[in-house]
Amino acid sequence: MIKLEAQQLIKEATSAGRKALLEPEAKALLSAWRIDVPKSALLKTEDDLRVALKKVSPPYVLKVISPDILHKSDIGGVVTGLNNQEEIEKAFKEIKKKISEKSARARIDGFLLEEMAPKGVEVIIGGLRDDQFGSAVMFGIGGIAVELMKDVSYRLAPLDKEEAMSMMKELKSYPLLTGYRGSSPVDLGKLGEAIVKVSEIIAELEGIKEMEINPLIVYKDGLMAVDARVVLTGGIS
Amino acid sequence: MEITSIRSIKELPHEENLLPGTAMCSGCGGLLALRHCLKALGDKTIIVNAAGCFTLLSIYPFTPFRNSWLYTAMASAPAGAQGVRDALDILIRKGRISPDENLKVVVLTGDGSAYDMGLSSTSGAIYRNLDFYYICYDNEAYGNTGFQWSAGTPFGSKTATTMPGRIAPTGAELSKKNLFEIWRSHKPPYLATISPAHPVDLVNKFKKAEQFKGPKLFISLAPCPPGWGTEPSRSANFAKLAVDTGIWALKEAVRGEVRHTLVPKKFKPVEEYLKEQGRFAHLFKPVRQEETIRKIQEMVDGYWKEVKSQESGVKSQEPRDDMNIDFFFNPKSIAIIGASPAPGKLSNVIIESLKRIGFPGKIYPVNPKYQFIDDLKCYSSCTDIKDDIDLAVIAVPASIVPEALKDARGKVKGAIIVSGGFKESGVDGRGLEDKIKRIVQNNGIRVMGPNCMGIYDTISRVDTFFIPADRIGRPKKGGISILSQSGSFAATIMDEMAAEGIGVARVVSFGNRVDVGESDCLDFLADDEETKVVALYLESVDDGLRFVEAASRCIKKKPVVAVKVGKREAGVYAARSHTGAMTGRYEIYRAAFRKAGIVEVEGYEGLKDACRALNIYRPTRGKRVLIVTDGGGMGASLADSCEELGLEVAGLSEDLKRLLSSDLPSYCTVGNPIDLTGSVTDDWYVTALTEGLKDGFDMAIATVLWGPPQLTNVLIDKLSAVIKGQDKPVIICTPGGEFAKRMNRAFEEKGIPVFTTPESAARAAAVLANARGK
Repeated sequence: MIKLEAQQLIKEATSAGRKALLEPEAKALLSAWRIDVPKSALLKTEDDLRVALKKVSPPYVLKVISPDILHKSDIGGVVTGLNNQEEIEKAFKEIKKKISEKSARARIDGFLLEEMAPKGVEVIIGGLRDDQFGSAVMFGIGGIAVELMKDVSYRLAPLDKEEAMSMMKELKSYPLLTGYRGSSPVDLGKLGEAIVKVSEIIAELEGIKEMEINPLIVYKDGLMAVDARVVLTGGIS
Repeated sequence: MEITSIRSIKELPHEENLLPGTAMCSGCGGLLALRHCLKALGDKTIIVNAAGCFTLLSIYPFTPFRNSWLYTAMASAPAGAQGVRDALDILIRKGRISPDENLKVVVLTGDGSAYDMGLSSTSGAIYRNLDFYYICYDNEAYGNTGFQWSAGTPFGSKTATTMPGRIAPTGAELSKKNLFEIWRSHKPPYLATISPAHPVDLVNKFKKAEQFKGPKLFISLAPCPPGWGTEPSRSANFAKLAVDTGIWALKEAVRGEVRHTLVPKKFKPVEEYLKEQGRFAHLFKPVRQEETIRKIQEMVDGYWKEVKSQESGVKSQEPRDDMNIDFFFNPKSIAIIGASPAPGKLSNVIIESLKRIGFPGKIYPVNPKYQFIDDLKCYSSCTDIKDDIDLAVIAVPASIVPEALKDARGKVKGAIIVSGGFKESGVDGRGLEDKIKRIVQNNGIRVMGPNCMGIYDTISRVDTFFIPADRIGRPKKGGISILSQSGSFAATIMDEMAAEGIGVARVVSFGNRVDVGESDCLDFLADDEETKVVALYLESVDDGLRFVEAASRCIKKKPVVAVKVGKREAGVYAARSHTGAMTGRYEIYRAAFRKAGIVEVEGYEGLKDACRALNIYRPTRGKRVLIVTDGGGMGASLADSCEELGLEVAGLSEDLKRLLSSDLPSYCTVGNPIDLTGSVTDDWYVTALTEGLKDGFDMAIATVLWGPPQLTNVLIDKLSAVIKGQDKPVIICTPGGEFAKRMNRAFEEKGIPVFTTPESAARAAAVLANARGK
């Protein structure tokens, strides 16, 4: 996918009246900018599963794909730690049941079967389109530090890698990235590049109001965008 | 791995991705550059090679490349690259290759292809934002086919098709096409010129380029022994000479913003480069073509002159002429509209203020009710005044302001509306403000206000602040200029500065900002030689991007400090993501300040302390602070405050420790802080500070507690001599009661600001450390 295709994707989603990109679309966008995402398969019909299992290896995560649901895990749209066909099929039923209970009107476009990313340091990279200052990026180190302590940093987009590095260093929780209590340091270079790339996406593509990779799991070598949201401008008004 | 630039050739990557044994000419400068490029790019690349000299690199079945290689026709290498890139993307997307098997796609062309035949396909690829590298080896002619003229050939060069003769004695008559600028106009994320003689610069540019997705383009000068008529062993020398003479400028453009990466300290004359090359030999023999050589030198000089003016940040971002608001700060005449003879009335206070400050121009009171106001003739309307008027101060009730503006049309350049009763006072006022906005848009008057105090200017001697001087003191002339959205904030800080003897250049209270706002004023202050420091009080800004641009330009010339109030204002995002939900306006403002290089300070006190510090001290190069005290506890508290603000309270060198241990009694603590203890004398402070500052510190804070009996008021003279005797700031911090306060006044009489708490001293130090901008 090149910039023009990404722009086209956003345009089509907007004109279809959608508020956000579907997760597979958001991830395709990220991987076009060379931000790694988990290996995955799209499941539309029962048959897809058999093919998918050959392509993706366990353990799996199963996620519902719906244009009406932005926070999937809040309504039980995500099941983790699946190991085989049997468990996946059980998870299908579970998710469908929960959605019919909590959000009966939500359309279900299909399911996303992903390889479960190994544990690492979870971070969040966000992007915002701002009426006054163009666009901005946000960076935080996952979980409590972000939500409770608001330990996040901001820059106007686009930025360069040096600024991305300074965004990390500004955080009180920065030591979590450089190796804390015996854990090994994460791939700061790749992480810095990912921040630069998000800043480019938010600054260059039209029609995005907000986006975030949450969580982005960072490892000693490399990183993985486990979940992503891209909220469209058109869907706001 | 961060982008760590390398510093010397020892740090060049050792791996070779271009192996020896090629069919290229000996001494090929392009090959030399390519070797370094491939070291920087690594072995995970695919070369897409346009027809040219480098065709000879891969003659089946032999290749010197570790990389894959694809050959294309001369004009279509970028199209080939597009195909390869797409194929790789599809394979990755389908899972056929894993993302870590991804390859960099690298186009390799000569100048014939890059400047001439392949330009349109390159333009297309940049335009499509194709993610690829493009390296042009520029030997300044079609070398492979016998050195014919190309659009890369410089003026004065002999080629097979521009033979010097009677008709064209100079050889090539056209100048080299400016490919860098052609590419730059597409705004690719990265673009650079490189040279085989500067491999460190070359490798660092590739490292820098790596972070960007999209086109990354490089033009390398490629000395060509057979074509240039030079010794094969001297190709690197010629590449270096090209840079040293300024003929080959090493530069880069990140998203269109140009920076020269190597500017020779002293330029060698171009002649040195020209005279030893066969292709320029005709300029020297049989007759020396003085005119041509001079012209080449002039082209080079002209180029660098322009670079100099642009990269000092001036030319490219010069504010537009119609945005000029200089007349607000240099008026020859001022009309007071709504002038009143009644003492205490706003308009009367303003006339008094103008007289008191000694405004040297003409003052025209305007009010149909009066013939004279004091000794000044009063006019019934602006149109009755014969001369043109630079500035009108409008001090009439809000409802009459639109009429007053219309009356001033064509007569007045700028107006300050000091009247209140607009946006700040409800629905009716808002309607009125919209009305004057519409008038302003098409009557050619620049307007400051409404609901403002206007200007206090010690340079042009203008004072429109309508508070009497016995209530709010007026500071003396100095180097600080203040821009404030709030009139009361501006007036109060002015009053304190007047009391403390700190001077100002221009103070502007711009109020509701129907027209002139912070960015216009920043544009003016950036170029204002009287202003050394700009202090901003902001509730909001008008046009965010323009503000960032104006502030960035200003910061290249002088420090800008700002206080932003209204920090709890909620964001305006959809809040459909965590990011949106947790972001308020203030966070974005901070990001904008950071982008521009503005030093943000906390609240009123923060801004005041910043002004006090910047009034006499210049910004420092670094953040290393030395603390000297006679009270261990206060020193420790100060060290904590400094660390919290990101300053470095670094340890002393062994040399300094030895020196101080011999100069000071053994019971003094020689560390950072240096604790001189209760036995301190005036001279110990002098020794510790003068010796300490030589030890790589950027500034010092002297925390003087007046308890020790041997300290005398002579210390004030001695410290002031230390401050004036060298250029690093020595901040004075003297907490305490009556005695300390008396000493503080003695410092202030010498023009030295005193900070009475460790926290305020640390804040002042942090401002100095950050005020240099980025």
